[in-house]
Amino acid sequence: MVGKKTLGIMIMSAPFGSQYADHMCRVADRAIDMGYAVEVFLYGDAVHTQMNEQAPKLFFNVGEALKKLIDRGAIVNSCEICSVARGYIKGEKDGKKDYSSTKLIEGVRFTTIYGFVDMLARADKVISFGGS
Amino acid sequence: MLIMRTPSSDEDSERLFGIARSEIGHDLSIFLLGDGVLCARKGQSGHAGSAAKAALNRKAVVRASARDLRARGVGEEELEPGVESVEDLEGAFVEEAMERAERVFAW
Repeated sequence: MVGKKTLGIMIMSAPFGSQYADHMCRVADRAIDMGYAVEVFLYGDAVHTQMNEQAPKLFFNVGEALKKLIDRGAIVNSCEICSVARGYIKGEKDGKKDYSSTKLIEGVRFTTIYGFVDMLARADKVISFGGS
Repeated sequence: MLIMRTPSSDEDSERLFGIARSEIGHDLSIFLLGDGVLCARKGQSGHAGSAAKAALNRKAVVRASARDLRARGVGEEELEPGVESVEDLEGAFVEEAMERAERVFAW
Protein backbone atom coordinates (compact mmCIF):
# COMPACT_ATOMS: atom_id res chain seq x y z
CA MET A 1 0.00 0.00 0.00
CA VAL A 2 1.43 3.38 -0.98
CA GLY A 3 2.23 5.56 1.99
CA LYS A 4 1.93 2.81 4.51
CA LYS A 5 4.67 3.09 7.11
CA THR A 6 6.78 0.02 7.71
CA LEU A 7 8.00 -1.34 11.01
CA GLY A 8 11.12 -3.47 10.57
CA ILE A 9 11.93 -6.05 13.22
CA MET A 10 15.04 -8.13 13.73
CA ILE A 11 14.88 -10.97 16.22
CA MET A 12 17.90 -12.96 17.36
CA SER A 13 16.60 -15.23 20.14
CA ALA A 14 14.87 -18.59 19.94
CA PRO A 15 11.32 -19.02 21.23
CA PHE A 16 10.59 -20.44 24.70
CA GLY A 17 14.12 -19.93 26.10
CA SER A 18 13.11 -16.32 26.61
CA GLN A 19 10.07 -14.18 25.89
CA TYR A 20 11.63 -12.11 23.11
CA ALA A 21 9.79 -14.00 20.37
CA ASP A 22 6.53 -13.56 22.29
CA HIS A 23 7.13 -9.84 22.58
CA MET A 24 8.09 -9.58 18.92
CA CYS A 25 4.89 -11.30 17.78
CA ARG A 26 2.69 -9.18 20.02
CA VAL A 27 4.30 -5.90 18.95
CA ALA A 28 4.09 -6.90 15.27
CA ASP A 29 0.47 -7.95 15.66
CA ARG A 30 -0.49 -4.61 17.20
CA ALA A 31 1.41 -2.76 14.48
CA ILE A 32 -0.66 -4.55 11.84
CA ASP A 33 -3.82 -3.75 13.81
CA MET A 34 -2.84 -0.10 13.63
CA GLY A 35 -2.34 -0.14 9.87
CA TYR A 36 1.43 -0.45 9.58
CA ALA A 37 3.31 -2.81 7.31
CA VAL A 38 5.56 -5.21 9.18
CA GLU A 39 8.74 -6.93 8.06
CA VAL A 40 10.48 -9.43 10.30
CA PHE A 41 14.00 -10.78 9.92
CA LEU A 42 14.81 -14.02 11.75
CA TYR A 43 18.50 -14.25 12.56
CA GLY A 44 20.65 -16.75 14.45
CA ASP A 45 18.73 -18.91 16.90
CA ALA A 46 15.59 -16.93 16.08
CA VAL A 47 15.17 -19.11 12.99
CA HIS A 48 13.72 -21.72 15.36
CA THR A 49 10.68 -19.46 15.39
CA GLN A 50 9.91 -20.70 11.85
CA MET A 51 9.47 -24.36 12.88
CA ASN A 52 5.99 -25.65 12.21
CA GLU A 53 3.85 -27.67 14.59
CA GLN A 54 5.10 -25.93 17.71
CA ALA A 55 2.87 -27.13 20.52
CA PRO A 56 3.77 -25.65 23.88
CA LYS A 57 1.46 -26.75 26.67
CA LEU A 58 1.90 -23.73 28.89
CA PHE A 59 3.74 -21.05 26.97
CA PHE A 60 2.66 -18.56 24.33
CA ASN A 61 2.56 -20.37 20.96
CA VAL A 62 5.12 -18.45 18.93
CA GLY A 63 4.65 -20.65 15.85
CA GLU A 64 0.92 -19.93 15.72
CA ALA A 65 1.58 -16.25 16.26
CA LEU A 66 4.15 -16.11 13.45
CA LYS A 67 1.77 -17.90 11.09
CA LYS A 68 -0.94 -15.41 12.01
CA LEU A 69 1.42 -12.53 11.24
CA ILE A 70 2.17 -13.97 7.81
CA ASP A 71 -1.55 -14.54 7.16
CA ARG A 72 -2.16 -10.90 8.10
CA GLY A 73 0.38 -9.65 5.58
CA ALA A 74 3.65 -9.47 7.46
CA ILE A 75 6.75 -10.33 5.49
CA VAL A 76 8.89 -12.80 7.41
CA ASN A 77 12.41 -13.23 6.08
CA SER A 78 14.73 -15.81 7.53
CA CYS A 79 18.50 -15.97 7.34
CA GLU A 80 19.23 -18.85 4.98
CA ILE A 81 22.70 -19.56 6.35
CA CYS A 82 21.29 -19.72 9.89
CA SER A 83 18.50 -21.99 8.63
CA VAL A 84 20.86 -24.33 6.80
CA ALA A 85 23.05 -24.54 9.89
CA ARG A 86 20.07 -25.61 12.01
CA GLY A 87 18.72 -28.11 9.49
CA TYR A 88 15.59 -26.33 8.35
CA ILE A 89 16.62 -26.10 4.70
CA LYS A 90 19.38 -27.39 2.47
CA GLY A 91 21.58 -24.96 0.62
CA GLU A 92 24.45 -25.17 -1.80
CA LYS A 93 27.31 -22.77 -2.22
CA ASP A 94 26.81 -22.55 -5.99
CA GLY A 95 23.57 -20.74 -5.44
CA LYS A 96 21.23 -23.66 -6.19
CA LYS A 97 19.17 -23.77 -3.08
CA ASP A 98 16.75 -26.47 -2.05
CA TYR A 99 14.16 -24.89 0.19
CA SER A 100 11.74 -27.79 0.19
CA SER A 101 11.23 -28.67 3.80
CA THR A 102 8.56 -30.22 5.95
CA LYS A 103 9.75 -28.29 8.99
CA LEU A 104 8.68 -24.79 8.07
CA ILE A 105 5.74 -22.53 8.70
CA GLU A 106 4.31 -21.76 5.29
CA GLY A 107 5.12 -18.33 3.96
CA VAL A 108 8.54 -17.81 5.52
CA ARG A 109 10.99 -16.45 2.97
CA PHE A 110 14.75 -16.93 2.88
CA THR A 111 17.44 -14.39 2.26
CA THR A 112 20.99 -13.56 3.19
CA ILE A 113 21.99 -10.94 5.72
CA TYR A 114 21.84 -8.51 2.81
CA GLY A 115 18.09 -8.96 3.00
CA PHE A 116 18.30 -7.37 6.41
CA VAL A 117 20.14 -4.41 4.90
CA ASP A 118 17.37 -4.09 2.31
CA MET A 119 14.82 -4.09 5.12
CA LEU A 120 16.70 -1.28 6.84
CA ALA A 121 16.33 0.77 3.68
CA ARG A 122 12.59 0.12 3.41
CA ALA A 123 11.55 0.43 7.02
CA ASP A 124 10.56 3.69 8.68
CA LYS A 125 11.67 2.34 12.06
CA VAL A 126 13.62 -0.78 12.98
CA ILE A 127 13.69 -2.47 16.36
CA SER A 128 15.50 -5.55 17.57
CA PHE A 129 14.56 -8.28 19.98
CA GLY A 130 16.86 -10.57 21.90
CA GLY A 131 20.42 -11.61 21.33
CA SER A 132 23.11 -11.93 23.94
CA MET B 1 13.03 2.90 24.63
CA LEU B 2 11.55 -0.55 24.86
CA ILE B 3 13.07 -2.47 27.78
CA MET B 4 12.52 -6.20 28.14
CA ARG B 5 15.35 -7.09 30.53
CA THR B 6 15.50 -7.32 34.28
CA PRO B 7 17.25 -4.43 36.02
CA SER B 8 20.05 -6.30 37.79
CA SER B 9 20.79 -9.63 36.12
CA ASP B 10 23.59 -8.56 33.77
CA GLU B 11 25.71 -5.64 32.69
CA ASP B 12 23.55 -5.01 29.63
CA SER B 13 20.92 -3.38 31.78
CA GLU B 14 23.52 -1.04 33.19
CA ARG B 15 24.64 -0.11 29.66
CA LEU B 16 21.05 0.44 28.63
CA PHE B 17 20.32 2.77 31.49
CA GLY B 18 23.55 4.56 30.71
CA ILE B 19 22.04 5.31 27.31
CA ALA B 20 18.88 6.51 29.06
CA ARG B 21 20.92 8.86 31.20
CA SER B 22 22.64 10.23 28.09
CA GLU B 23 19.28 11.34 26.72
CA ILE B 24 19.14 14.36 29.00
CA GLY B 25 17.74 17.24 27.03
CA HIS B 26 15.59 15.01 24.83
CA ASP B 27 12.08 13.79 25.39
CA LEU B 28 12.29 10.22 26.58
CA SER B 29 9.59 7.58 26.70
CA ILE B 30 10.34 4.23 28.31
CA PHE B 31 8.18 1.18 27.74
CA LEU B 32 8.66 -1.78 30.08
CA LEU B 33 7.65 -5.13 28.66
CA GLY B 34 8.08 -8.69 29.94
CA ASP B 35 10.85 -8.91 32.54
CA GLY B 36 11.45 -5.22 31.92
CA VAL B 37 8.49 -4.38 34.16
CA LEU B 38 10.68 -5.33 37.13
CA CYS B 39 12.60 -2.11 36.48
CA ALA B 40 9.53 -0.23 37.71
CA ARG B 41 9.54 -1.60 41.26
CA LYS B 42 10.35 1.00 43.83
CA GLY B 43 12.99 0.60 46.50
CA GLN B 44 15.66 -1.06 44.37
CA SER B 45 19.33 -0.28 44.90
CA GLY B 46 21.99 0.46 42.31
CA HIS B 47 21.89 2.45 39.09
CA ALA B 48 19.80 -0.06 37.17
CA GLY B 49 17.42 -0.66 40.04
CA SER B 50 16.72 3.01 40.48
CA ALA B 51 16.57 3.71 36.75
CA ALA B 52 12.82 4.20 36.59
CA LYS B 53 12.94 6.73 39.41
CA ALA B 54 15.87 8.53 37.79
CA ALA B 55 14.07 8.63 34.45
CA LEU B 56 10.90 9.97 36.04
CA ASN B 57 12.92 12.65 37.78
CA ARG B 58 14.10 13.74 34.33
CA LYS B 59 10.50 14.06 33.14
CA ALA B 60 10.57 10.85 31.15
CA VAL B 61 7.31 9.02 30.63
CA VAL B 62 7.60 5.48 31.98
CA ARG B 63 4.95 2.91 31.10
CA ALA B 64 4.81 -0.74 32.17
CA SER B 65 2.77 -3.59 30.75
CA ALA B 66 -0.12 -4.30 33.11
CA ARG B 67 -0.33 -7.87 31.79
CA ASP B 68 3.32 -8.52 32.56
CA LEU B 69 3.09 -6.89 35.99
CA ARG B 70 0.21 -9.22 36.85
CA ALA B 71 2.14 -12.21 35.48
CA ARG B 72 4.98 -11.43 37.89
CA GLY B 73 2.78 -10.64 40.86
CA VAL B 74 3.79 -7.00 41.00
CA GLY B 75 0.99 -4.81 42.30
CA GLU B 76 0.58 -1.22 41.21
CA GLU B 77 1.26 -0.13 44.81
CA GLU B 78 4.76 -1.58 44.41
CA LEU B 79 5.62 0.65 41.45
CA GLU B 80 7.74 3.74 41.53
CA PRO B 81 5.27 6.64 41.80
CA GLY B 82 4.65 8.05 38.34
CA VAL B 83 5.02 4.79 36.43
CA GLU B 84 1.92 4.18 34.34
CA SER B 85 0.50 0.67 34.17
CA VAL B 86 -0.83 0.20 30.63
CA GLU B 87 -2.98 -2.66 29.31
CA ASP B 88 -1.99 -2.18 25.66
CA LEU B 89 1.70 -1.53 26.13
CA GLU B 90 2.56 -2.90 22.69
CA GLY B 91 0.09 -0.58 20.99
CA ALA B 92 1.32 2.43 22.94
CA PHE B 93 4.90 1.59 22.01
CA VAL B 94 4.12 1.15 18.32
CA GLU B 95 2.29 4.47 18.17
CA GLU B 96 5.17 6.29 19.88
CA ALA B 97 7.84 4.58 17.79
CA MET B 98 6.14 5.07 14.44
CA GLU B 99 4.60 8.51 14.86
CA ARG B 100 6.61 10.52 17.38
CA ALA B 101 10.03 9.12 18.18
CA GLU B 102 13.10 10.21 16.26
CA ARG B 103 15.05 7.23 17.53
CA VAL B 104 14.02 3.93 19.02
CA PHE B 105 16.07 1.64 21.24
CA ALA B 106 14.91 -1.86 22.09
CA TRP B 107 16.77 -3.95 24.62
